[in-house]
Order: sequence, then C-alpha cells, then structure tokens
Amino acid sequence: MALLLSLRGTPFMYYGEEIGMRDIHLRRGEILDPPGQKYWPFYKGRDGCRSPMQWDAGAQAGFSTARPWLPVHPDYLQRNVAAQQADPGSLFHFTKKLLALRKAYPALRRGDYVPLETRPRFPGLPAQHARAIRAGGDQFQKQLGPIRALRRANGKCFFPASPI
Amino acid sequence: MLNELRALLDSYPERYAIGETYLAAPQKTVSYCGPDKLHAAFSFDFIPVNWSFPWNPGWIMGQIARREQTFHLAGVWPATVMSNHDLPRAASRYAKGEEDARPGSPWRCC
Repeated sequence: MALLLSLRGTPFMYYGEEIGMRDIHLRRGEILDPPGQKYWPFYKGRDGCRSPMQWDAGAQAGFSTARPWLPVHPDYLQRNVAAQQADPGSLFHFTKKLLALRKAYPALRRGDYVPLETRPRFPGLPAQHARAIRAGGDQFQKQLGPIRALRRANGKCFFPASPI
Repeated sequence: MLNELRALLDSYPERYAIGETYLAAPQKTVSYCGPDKLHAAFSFDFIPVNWSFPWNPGWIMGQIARREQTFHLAGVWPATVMSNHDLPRAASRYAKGEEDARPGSPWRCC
C-alpha cells in the first residue's frame, strides 16, 4: 500500500485492497470464469479476486441481501471494513494516513522520484523505497524541511508506530 | 484509432482515458499515451506478465527503476496499479498468512 501511494504516478486502488482482502479459493465446480472452467487446473480463472466487498460481519459480509455471483471470502468475519474502522492499527487506517500524507505534501503527488540508497538495509523490506524521496521544481524548496526530516528519521517521522 | 478516440473524448468535459495495456512491453505502454492519445496507461511493473512477483527489495527496486526510466524518458506520467479484476490480489501475492496484514508485518509497511 505504501508503494502504491508513494511512487511517482497516479495510484489506482482495487476494491478491498484497503482492508487487505485475499483471493477466494474455489473448487472446480464453483468456478464461474469461463477461461478458468476451460483451462482448470492449469489456470483457475479470475474469480479469486472478484469476491464481494467485505463490509461487515453480517450476512454476505454486508454486500447484499441476495446471493452474490461469487461467494464471500470466509475470512470476512474478521476482515471487514467495520472491524478495521474500529481498530486504529488496521490496514484501513494505515491507508487513510497514507492518503492524508499524500494530500498534505505536493511532492508526494507531483514530485520527482530520487532513490537515496541502492543497497537494501533490511531483508524482506524495500528499504531504499522507504528512504526514497521525491521533490519537483517549485515544490523542492517548500518540501525541503519534510525531506530532511524524512532523511533523518528514515521514514519514521510519519508513522512512529510502524517498524520501518 | 487512438487519435479518433481521444478526439471524441475531448468533446466531453472532465474526461480521462486509461489503457489496461497488460500484455504490452513498457515501451509500448507509454506509446499509447500523449496529448492526442490516452491520458495514461497502467504500469504493470508489480504484476508482470510472467506472474513473478517475489517479495524481494532488489526486484522491487529494479521494477521501480525500469518503470521510472521508461515513463520518464517518454515524458509520460505513470499510473500505478497493484491489483485488478484479472489478477491475484496484492495481499494474496505477498502475504503469507492471515496475520500478515496485521500491524507490524512487512506487508503493512510496504
């Protein structure tokens, strides 16, 4: 999510990404996507990422009172918008904070991309990206303060609770 | 054809056209964009055609560098996408288990 919302460019979020929705797993007989029906088991189709949005812990995850085209992911009782709204440490709130950050800093929306490091510092974490900053044209001077802070804090300044 | 499409679009207010140019090479993707073509095209650098998306800093940096180079050289503003209706979700590609989306996990940070 941090990559999506901090890279240079216009981010497009897919529904459910903000709560970390996973693909559903279907048995052969449940597959509805024609390419998946035809090429199973080599290709199981695109049904996995098309399950109903998980709004709450109610029936059909709050998506509909009718039976939806594809089944709701069984994790909907835990993973749903209502539950994550109530949890300040959730991916939902992390996404909201990132969006606010993007809104607050023009450099995050329109700036250039300048990687500060070329060597990973932590395994399993694109540390270079965490340290990457962007600044562009007129915005550069204005953004220099936050950039210095970001450099010093290695990203920590914005999300003190995050282990980056 | 793109020129015709754009000319038609431009006869409407507040228009924006983006290309789902999944099978195209990055150079081809940027070639679809311009003032008389599409406004943007998705960069699928994080969901490549070979469905190889390791959780690996080097690979991710490589994809960022490649994308920056291609789009920057062409003067095209990139459009980023991590999941879409045709491909496995980002959380399914990168997370190992249910708890991976909890606070403090690598998935959440990045």
